[in-house]
Amino acid sequence: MTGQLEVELGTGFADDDVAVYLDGTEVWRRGGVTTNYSVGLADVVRIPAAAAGTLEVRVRDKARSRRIEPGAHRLRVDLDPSGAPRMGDAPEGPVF
Amino acid sequence: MTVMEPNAAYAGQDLSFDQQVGADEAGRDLYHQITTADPSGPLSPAGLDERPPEPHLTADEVLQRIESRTLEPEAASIPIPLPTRAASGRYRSPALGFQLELRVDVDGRRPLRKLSGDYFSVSGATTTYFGSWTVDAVTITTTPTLVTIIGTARTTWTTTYTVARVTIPRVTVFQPAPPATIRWSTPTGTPGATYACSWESGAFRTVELEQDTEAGVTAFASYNTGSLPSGGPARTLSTAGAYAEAGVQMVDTGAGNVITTSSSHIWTNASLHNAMVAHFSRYQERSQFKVWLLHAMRHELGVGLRGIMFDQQGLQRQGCASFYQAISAGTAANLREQLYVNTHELGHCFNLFHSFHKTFMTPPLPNRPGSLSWMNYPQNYAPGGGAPGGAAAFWGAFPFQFDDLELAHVRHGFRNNVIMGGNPFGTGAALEAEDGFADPVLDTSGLELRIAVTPDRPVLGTPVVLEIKLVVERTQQVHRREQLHPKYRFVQVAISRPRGDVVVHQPPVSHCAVPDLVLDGHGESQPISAYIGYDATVGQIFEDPGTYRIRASYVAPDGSLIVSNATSVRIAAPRTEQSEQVADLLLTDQAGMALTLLGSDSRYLAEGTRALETVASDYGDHPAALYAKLALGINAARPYTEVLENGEVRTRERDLGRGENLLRQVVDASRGDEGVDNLTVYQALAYLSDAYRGEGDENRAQALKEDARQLAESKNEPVSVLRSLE
Repeated sequence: MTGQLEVELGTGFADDDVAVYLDGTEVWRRGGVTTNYSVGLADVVRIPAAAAGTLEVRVRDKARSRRIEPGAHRLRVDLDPSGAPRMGDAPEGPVF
Repeated sequence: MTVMEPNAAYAGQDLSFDQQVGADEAGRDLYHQITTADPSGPLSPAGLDERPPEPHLTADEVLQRIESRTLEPEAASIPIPLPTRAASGRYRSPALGFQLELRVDVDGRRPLRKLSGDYFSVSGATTTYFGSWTVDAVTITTTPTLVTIIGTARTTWTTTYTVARVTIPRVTVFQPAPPATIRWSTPTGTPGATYACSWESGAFRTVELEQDTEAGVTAFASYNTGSLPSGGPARTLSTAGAYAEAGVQMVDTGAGNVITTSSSHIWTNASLHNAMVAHFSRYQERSQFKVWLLHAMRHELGVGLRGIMFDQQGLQRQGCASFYQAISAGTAANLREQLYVNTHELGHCFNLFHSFHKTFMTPPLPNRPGSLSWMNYPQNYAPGGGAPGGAAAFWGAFPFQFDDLELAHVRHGFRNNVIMGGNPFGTGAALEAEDGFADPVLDTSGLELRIAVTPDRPVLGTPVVLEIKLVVERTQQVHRREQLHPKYRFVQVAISRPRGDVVVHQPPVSHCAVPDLVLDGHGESQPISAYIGYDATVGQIFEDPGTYRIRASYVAPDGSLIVSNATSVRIAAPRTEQSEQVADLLLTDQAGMALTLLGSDSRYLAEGTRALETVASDYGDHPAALYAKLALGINAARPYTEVLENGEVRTRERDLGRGENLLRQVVDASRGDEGVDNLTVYQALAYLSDAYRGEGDENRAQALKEDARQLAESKNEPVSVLRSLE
């Protein structure tokens, strides 16, 4: 156990089915994922990250993946206007 | 809905303006006005003259100025011009026909040079919101005795009377506030209506605020903005004070209480909504200028979450919460953040989006990341042009206020775009057609209209049925329950679709009938169910997955307009190939019409009927199959007469065997909680009973009616339903 991986599902989600995979294994899935624009978040996925691996987020038949190194990480996935996921480090700072 | 319009000449209540109208109500105790210190109120010394605007003064400061002037020796010999009342504020016309709430914004704190108003239609025992208008830019002419404000209005309804001319007498602060008169005309000068409006408040809007606190949390009270470097004048601000500066009066309901939780309690959006329903003394599932703020400790989304406007189900934006987990210590920085978060979350309840999320609104606006506003994130502040951004730059320049566009929305936005429980969060002007279905602001009719959708969460293509129930609390005459079906036009249904439009449902078949009235009362209810999936104007209504909002209105015999609760139904996207095929089969015009008619032999609906048969036979496990069987069964149980082109009349006789076989499947699948709604089940059995009676089989007819009656009794149906099965 080397830390917790958090994935913010951010803007652009509207009643979506979202699945998160770690090294090809599904670790999280939820339907009806919808952004709450009062916080710019649809959900926060928390995954115990065992070691380095590849994180993949699938939504609307599209996927985005990223290599994760051991340790605590907080990533963010937003959907662009075409519905394609964009993944990056979650921004710092409070949310309200 | 209402066909008269309020700006036309015939609608005005008082074409011969009397400036004293409402003066009594408008007059207020001066001391009270001064000590309540409404920041946008009529005591602003800026007045309407051409002096540059002064910084905001409190009422006490105004009084001190006046007193200091009068105490000067030369004051006895030189006339001192007394400060004039500001014209800005809220005015209201008498409640006759159309009532106008007028907002004048031309002086006082941060004048936006706008006019706006809401019309309310007074009918019978109900007062119902009619529509809103806004003048975005005005011309102001000031004489020593009169202020005249002229501009062209945008309206939520269609009118040619769009030119507004408002006149307000100028008086000193020691005189009662005068009324405002608005005269409408067309751009070519044709006179329209005139309304004389008494002064009501210096605030453009008044909102009831109820604040509850989670045990262990010290709720924010106030912050001195001079405690840390900032961009505005130093003053002590509470949350209500921040809104007062925006021209919104926040009135504490006095009903706040402490919510006891465990010390490690973590809130979710669902538990927050439950808490709101349980603890917000003013909560109702209707639009109203009332809002709930919970001061809480922590939320499941993490320690970084400072606040949330969680109320995004049903009628939205009625509640929000702030979280103190990371900012509970009473340092200046924490108090500043508490003020910011509380004001910010309530801003969401006024339907304000983040400065950097404006593009996600409906309709969208450009983002304003450089906005020094309550609605930005300090860390996201990006003024551009090479100027420094980020939290430090933001706080150093932030004057503790909304930006001008947000201020215009809060003060002058169309009512449903602003009011809590109005349009969904983020939706601006797209729902104007629904204005006629707004909650009455006053309802003493003794009637209540309730609606519910079945099935709960239909898959795309499944027929949507609306249960409409009229509850009669006070004894009076109302329409017989059958006439509550929208096809009789006494009840209208409006559906807001996820694509952004609003359909005021026009049933493809209308019944013109003489009102059939019954005497009812004592809480008795009259329920009816109606298929609302197909519309004479737009065809298939529920043809996209997504959430649909539905409201209905009923015009009572005395003219009262009774507006139902708002309900939502989420149409799920087909997840299987079978579901997709059912949707394809049923979302056609012919299938919609065949369902509306409960089946037909018409050759013009042959494709639709074939679709129903295919769904009934090949997709029996799909929820839509029961509705297909219902339509096919009822059609089989009745004769069908066709007039051929040569004038010959051909009759297809009842097929009671097929009819009963199909309807039995519907009834048996629906005796419990599954299947079609109860009222439809009784209707199917009653229809079959009548068919057997028509064939002379009285025993079978009686048995079917008895089955229906027993089923209805077991489900505790109201007397009106049981009587219909006798």
